[in-house]
Amino acid sequence: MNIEPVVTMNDLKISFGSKKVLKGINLEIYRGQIIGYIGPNGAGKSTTVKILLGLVDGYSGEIRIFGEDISMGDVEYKRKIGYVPETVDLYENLTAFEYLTFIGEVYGLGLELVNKKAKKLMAILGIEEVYHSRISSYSKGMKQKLLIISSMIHNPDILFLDEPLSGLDANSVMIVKEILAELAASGKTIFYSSHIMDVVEKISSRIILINEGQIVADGSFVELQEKSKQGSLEQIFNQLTGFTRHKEIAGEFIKELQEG
Amino acid sequence: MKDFWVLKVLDVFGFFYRAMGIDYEVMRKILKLKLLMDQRRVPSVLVNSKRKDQENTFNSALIIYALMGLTFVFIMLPPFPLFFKMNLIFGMLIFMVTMTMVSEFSSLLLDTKDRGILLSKPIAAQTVNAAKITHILINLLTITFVMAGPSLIVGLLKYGWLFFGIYFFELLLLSGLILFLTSVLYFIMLLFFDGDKLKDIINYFQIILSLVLTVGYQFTGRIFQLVGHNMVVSFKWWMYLLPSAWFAAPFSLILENKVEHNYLYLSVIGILGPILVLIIYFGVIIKYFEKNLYKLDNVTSKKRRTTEKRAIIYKKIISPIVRNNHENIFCRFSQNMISSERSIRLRLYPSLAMATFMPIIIMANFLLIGITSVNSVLTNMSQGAYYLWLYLAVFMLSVTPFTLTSSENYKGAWIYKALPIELPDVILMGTLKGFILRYLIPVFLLESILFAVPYGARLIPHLILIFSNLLLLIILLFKLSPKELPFSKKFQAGENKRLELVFASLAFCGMSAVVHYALRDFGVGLLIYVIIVLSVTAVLWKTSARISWKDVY
Repeated sequence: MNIEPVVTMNDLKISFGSKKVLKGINLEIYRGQIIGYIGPNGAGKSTTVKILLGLVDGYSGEIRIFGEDISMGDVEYKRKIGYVPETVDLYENLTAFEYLTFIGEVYGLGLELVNKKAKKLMAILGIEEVYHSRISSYSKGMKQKLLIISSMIHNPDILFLDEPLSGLDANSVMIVKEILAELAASGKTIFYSSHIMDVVEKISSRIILINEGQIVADGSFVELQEKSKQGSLEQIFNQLTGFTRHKEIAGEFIKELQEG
Repeated sequence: MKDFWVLKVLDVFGFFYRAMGIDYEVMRKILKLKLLMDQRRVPSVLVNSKRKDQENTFNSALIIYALMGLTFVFIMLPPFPLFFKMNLIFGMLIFMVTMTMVSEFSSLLLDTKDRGILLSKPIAAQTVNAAKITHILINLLTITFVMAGPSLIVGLLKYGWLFFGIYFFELLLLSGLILFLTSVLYFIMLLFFDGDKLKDIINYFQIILSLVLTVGYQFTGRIFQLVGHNMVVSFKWWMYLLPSAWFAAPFSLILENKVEHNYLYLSVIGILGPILVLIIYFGVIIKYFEKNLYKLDNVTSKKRRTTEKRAIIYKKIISPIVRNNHENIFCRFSQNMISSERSIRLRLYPSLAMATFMPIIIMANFLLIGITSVNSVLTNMSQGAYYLWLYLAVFMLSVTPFTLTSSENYKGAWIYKALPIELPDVILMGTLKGFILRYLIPVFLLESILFAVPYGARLIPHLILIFSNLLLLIILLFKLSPKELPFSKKFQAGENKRLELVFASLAFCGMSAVVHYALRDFGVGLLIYVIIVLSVTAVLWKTSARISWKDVY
């Protein structure tokens, strides 16, 4: 591809204490891509996303989003970014109305417009009846829908989604998957991390696998298949992260259950 | 896990549970876990203390309840008729214990979580319910006896064992009555409200409780002045409606040998009433109660277009006052946060209410000594510079914004950084302005009206000066305090590091009051002082320091 990348990471490293979490990530992301960012627990997926958003400081290396170095302190780029965090941490005492209009207004939308938009989006996802209820009273799926709406209400160009489908029912998962596919087709970029391999396999145009803070695989599903000679993404994942003991561990677990 | 002595006492009654078909061993295990969890709970009377030692919070709460009980000793000592004294004590006891039950132990009564955990295991519902009720009873009896403890001991020393025996027995009956009263209270509330509304109501009980505790002490010394010294007990029919009168009657009947019909009837009601009520409770109410508990997890929501319209109108109103658009947004955000989060309200509202009424109460304490008519108080007051007591309110209000850094949902603070906000000063200033507009100004206005009663319009310049001083103090404290993002801290973490600011505020208020006092009758001097304070305040508010993201934490 001959176009300018939307996101560039150059030798991105970070340590928490003595633990090296990211050991030099180099990555270029282009417009219209749906990137599945996968890896075992603790591999550094969420940390990467948090650094990109400026939620975590103290990294070394260079990050450019829309060509701008994000360490320069200019926050304008955040206007074009949407983010769904891994854990559903919200100001739950607020109502969806209060929370969404607050966020929309900070993004620069007028109060009346954002109110109309928020209500509509909630209605489309089938949760408009709780628009004026405290978020703390929502079910897990409702909270997740709210998070998705809050990340997209300002129509961003890049979406960083950390486990965006958790807690959603099968029908809602289909809706969100379709939304992501259409957004990517219209030129938005989606950076997506998940543990559910089937979903990643199906919707991603490019899959990046990290393990112990380093990229160990990068390419489309077909490319990864060819390289690793494995059938499913799950098997590729196991092979690349060097994990073969699952049968052994399950056996040990069951043996302990039957004890005594 | 250590074994609780309460459980050893309970073991004595084990046969009773077994007779009712309850698996006592399992119930004991559940109870043990519940008691263990109690020790890790922070009671709302301690909510403002800096104690970090989690293990001991429950015990320190008990000490506070015992201190509250000391009040009853002061009622016990003077030579009033026993019926009158005990009436007062039981009245206060019922009120305090009920309030404590509602605010502290509502979680026990309304717990639906334990059903999900326990009933999925092979445990009978009966056993779970028995554990729940026993747990509540243990807490209820503990509070009742700790609160009544001081007066129980003093009563024993003053009136002997017979008094002790009656009092002890009646405290048991009283606990039963309170259990009934609180359950009925919740039962009625559950019928009308859904879970969220109910939690709000419990929150208001908590706020009232902490307010009554603090303000109550100001009044205890006054009780006797208020009731007068020559107290003659005369019967009124409505005394039959007062549970405190039921419980007080036996003391007169037995200890003072006043064998009268009224005392006798009251005493009988006092014994039969609670017993009857407990039978009704265990027989009828408890079933409906448990059935209605599911409503707690339910939330009904109405379409509230007015909320949306109000927000839009409000925005138009405050836009000229708070010009910066981001500050404006955070104004509304902070107001929504404060008014909807119960933990913040629990810390903030009592302080606001105290700041409103404390100056008046203290002033009344000074003025009421030896004066009988209201008019003479008012004339007396208008002669002096009593309005300077408003600086006490200024002091109390000036430290309230510190509360705004904490929230129960503090983890939601990631949103500040994910949003395109250039510098965090708009967040901090917006929050502060929102708080002042919605809370501090109304409180100050209310207080001004109260103080304007004796002084009239000539108080206005003084009020303007005092209010400017408040604004000046708030912005000074804001600049001096470490910059923390609003609603981003866990409650109780490092609340003591602001101690020096509290002292600074106190010093500022003292000095301002002195300068104000010196200039109070010196028109031109006062005018110049007002102008100086106003302009310094205005300059400080305009030149908000550019705070960068690196300075906040």
